[in-house]
Amino acid sequence: MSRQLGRVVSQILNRYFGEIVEKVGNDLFMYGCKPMGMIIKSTGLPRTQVIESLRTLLKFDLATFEAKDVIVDYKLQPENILLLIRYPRYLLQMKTKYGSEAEMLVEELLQQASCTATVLIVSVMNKYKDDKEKNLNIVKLKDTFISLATAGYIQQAPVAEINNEIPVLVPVATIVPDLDVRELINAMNSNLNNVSDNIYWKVNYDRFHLDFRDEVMIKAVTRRIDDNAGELLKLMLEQMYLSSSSWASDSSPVPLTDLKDGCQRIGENMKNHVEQYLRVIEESTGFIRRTGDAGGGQYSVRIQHALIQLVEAVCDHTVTERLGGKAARIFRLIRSKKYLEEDDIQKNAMLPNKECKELTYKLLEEHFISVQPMRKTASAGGMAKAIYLYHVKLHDVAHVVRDMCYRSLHNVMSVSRHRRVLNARLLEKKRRVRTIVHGMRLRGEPQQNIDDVLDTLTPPEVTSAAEAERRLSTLAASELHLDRALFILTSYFTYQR
Amino acid sequence: MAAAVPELTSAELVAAINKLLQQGVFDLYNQGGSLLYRLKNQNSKQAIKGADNEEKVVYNLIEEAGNKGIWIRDIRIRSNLANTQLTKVLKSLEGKKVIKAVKCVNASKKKVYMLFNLEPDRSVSGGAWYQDQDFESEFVDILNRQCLRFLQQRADKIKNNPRGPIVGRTQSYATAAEVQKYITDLGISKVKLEVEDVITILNTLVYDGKAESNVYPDGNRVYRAIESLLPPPGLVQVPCGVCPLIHKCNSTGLITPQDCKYMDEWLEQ
Amino acid sequence: MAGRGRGRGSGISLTHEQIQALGIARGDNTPAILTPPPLFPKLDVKPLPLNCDAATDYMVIVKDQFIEYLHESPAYVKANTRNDGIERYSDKYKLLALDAKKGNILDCVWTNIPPELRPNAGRSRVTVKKRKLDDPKEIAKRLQTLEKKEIQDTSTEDMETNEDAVKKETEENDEELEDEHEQEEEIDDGTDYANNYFDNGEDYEEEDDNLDDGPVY
Repeated sequence: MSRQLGRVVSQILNRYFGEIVEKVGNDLFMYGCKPMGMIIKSTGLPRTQVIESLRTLLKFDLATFEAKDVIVDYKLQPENILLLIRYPRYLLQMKTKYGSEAEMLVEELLQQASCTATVLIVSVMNKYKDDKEKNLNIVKLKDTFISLATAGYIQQAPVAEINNEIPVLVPVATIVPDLDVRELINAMNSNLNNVSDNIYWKVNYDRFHLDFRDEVMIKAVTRRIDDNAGELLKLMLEQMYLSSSSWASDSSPVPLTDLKDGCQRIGENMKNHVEQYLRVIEESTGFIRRTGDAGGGQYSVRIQHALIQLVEAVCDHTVTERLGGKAARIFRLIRSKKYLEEDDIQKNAMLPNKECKELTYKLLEEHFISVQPMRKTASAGGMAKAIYLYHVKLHDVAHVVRDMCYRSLHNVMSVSRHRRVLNARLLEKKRRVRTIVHGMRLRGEPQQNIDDVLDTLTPPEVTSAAEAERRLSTLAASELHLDRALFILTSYFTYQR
Repeated sequence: MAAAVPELTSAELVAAINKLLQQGVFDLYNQGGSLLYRLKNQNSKQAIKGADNEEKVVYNLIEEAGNKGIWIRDIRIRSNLANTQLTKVLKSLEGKKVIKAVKCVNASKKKVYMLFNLEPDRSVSGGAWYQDQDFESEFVDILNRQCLRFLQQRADKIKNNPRGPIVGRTQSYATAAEVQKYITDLGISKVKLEVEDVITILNTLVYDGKAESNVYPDGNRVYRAIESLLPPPGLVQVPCGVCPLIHKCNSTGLITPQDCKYMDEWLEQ
Repeated sequence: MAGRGRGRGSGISLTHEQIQALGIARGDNTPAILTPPPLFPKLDVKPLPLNCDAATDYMVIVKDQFIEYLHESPAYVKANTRNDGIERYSDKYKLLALDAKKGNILDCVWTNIPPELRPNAGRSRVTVKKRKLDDPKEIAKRLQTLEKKEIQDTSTEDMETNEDAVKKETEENDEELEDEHEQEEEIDDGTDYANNYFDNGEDYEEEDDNLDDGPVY
């Protein structure tokens, strides 16, 4: 695990759970795995605070534990900590795909980390029951819950096997529940503690990630060819879910005839040209491949290959922006020719000798390319000069770029933290005024009084608070964009193991 | 002279003669008021005739090498002449404008000799991209942009083409010959660009990730302008992605995110 | 000897004439002001514009809300307020806010986490108090069974662990009387408790401590 990962994880813990959890997280990150006593000793934190921090980490799946005899070892899960940045994207996905009920349910579940269906539905209901705009009803919520469980966006949480004093969490298969609306209504009106529901649920990140992966692939094909091609790929991915494991590197082949049925709905142009589209997608992106001739042709989706292409695109953009288009040309040239000598780089890239050498060196310096000396065989005796072959190790480059993303994420977050501290007083004042005004509006107090409260913020304060907030949201937006890049890189790495 | 080629008008004849003179194929003599033309090659052969054996040997070696030229070391080895003597011979031949020395683009210090009237081979001169052995990168850049523009004009043909994506793609494709014609018509090139030259430029577009290429069944290479699979990632939308100091930046020290000028400038926008 | 002579010769600095002969004018060797290169050299490239669409705006808002929620929840672990000796107007509000959150413990599925983190583990006093108030009988019963278990578990080990269990009981019963000082001791205990398994040789002293503690009980 890289040092940069440790730094960014530390920033995230600080931002979301405060300094103390950050300290405990750092300690765990550094030592990998350790019992509570050791954490207390190395962090110097009071025992109660370490306990509270560990509870937080365990609750949100940011750490796991394992019993060794009577000692419990805690282990940080940095990958899950990074996912905290992605929560808004999960909610956006829910909102666009399933509507606002789904969004509310998933939001509540992310906040609770895990809870029972009854508690989840009832708390969402209670939270928004006064909100006329939302117009919630419990039946609709229940149905949404069921469809989310069916589609796999939420799943049953692992349960504790209690053979032992120290529990062992075992994953369980999700059974879509049969929720009784009357019981839900009863629960709403009585104390939630009396509810017998003891099946806990949590958000299934992986299901969301499949959506994101598909979305990236479909968009890429759309950019390269056209909307129809994107639709066709979407259809093929849907088919893939029926017949292959969802993270398979290649889907099992689908016969053309099956695809044709689905193509009917995409449109006239698609219907008549399915085979042509398949060929163009295959030739232009390599995301799919014709694997056989049975059934009018068999086609499979090449997920792993697609992710390689996508990561290459990420790397290309990075090289282009960091070192310029000419460097990117050299980078791609070397990658497409596998191994290349310096002279050939210059000849093919059509760059002046000096510039070409300089850029090659810069690429080498930033570890985008690597060089392999090859000793010429004894043809000209011992005097033979070694030749240097340049090449691109995509896996290594992806590591370099991922580390840069971690660094950038860390930096963006730490600037954001710094700016928040600088403007703490102002932002806090503005927040307080806003809360008061909100309360006053709800109580229907006269505008005059509201204006008086608003006037406690002087015009310069209003301007500088707005400026500060604008900068903070720029930083927040870049965190989200960085996470998108990280998503592609991480997905690529899942196939590299 | 006019009598020797009766099928040409005198105006045509004059134009042709002038051109040939310019290229140095003939020499012109004024003999007793009438003009005489003589092919230069024969002339140089004659120049050799009067020369000594060493010059003849060297001349023959250089002539043999054709427009690829011959390296001085190879002449020495094959002629068995001593270094100083060879230099003298070469000097003398150069002085008579029988041979010339041409700098080789592949190796800047290497000189090759060839007959005076020969146009150096591409491998020696570097072809259209070299002006006096200097690589003309600006010229290449202009051509690169123009080729891309040409491809982009037809790139959208593939999108939702009613005749299907294969026909659409074919309409988006351009052969190197088509691009060559377009470039020639633009008149931006002083030198004549061969199809091969245009292919070299089109390939740079492929390496730029701005075009893809395919081969038609008849062996013709075709090119199509394409978009990158992804829009620029978040990494290059933040200062750190383009920051030259990213690897020096740390939590403490002189270069930290909090004190970063680039970050400040970016946030002030 | 000759070598040394030559060496000395070359060590002598040049005369003015010699320097002038070399083309260095007077004052040339004190150049104006040498500034270090700027820490942040001017950038030739700027990052690409951040694409801000409705989706991003939505996500930024959602993100802030989520973080705000966490900050209000017990998942956000706060340090014990330490007074730095300066009285501030805002302290009152801070304390009020803190009081509101005190006693709020993170809502976990307790069966899914290790016993040492559970509120009734006897290590986290605040929460034990709360639970005890809720239902003292049940807690007591639970503690007894736990205690028995612990004694059984550790009976094969040395006496010290037994002592520890006894001591725990002590704490439970007397917790109302305990003060800040004793809490600190408890923390130390905790550290050593874990260390026992690493046998760092502090066992004997530890035992003594516990014996001294005895009479309090």
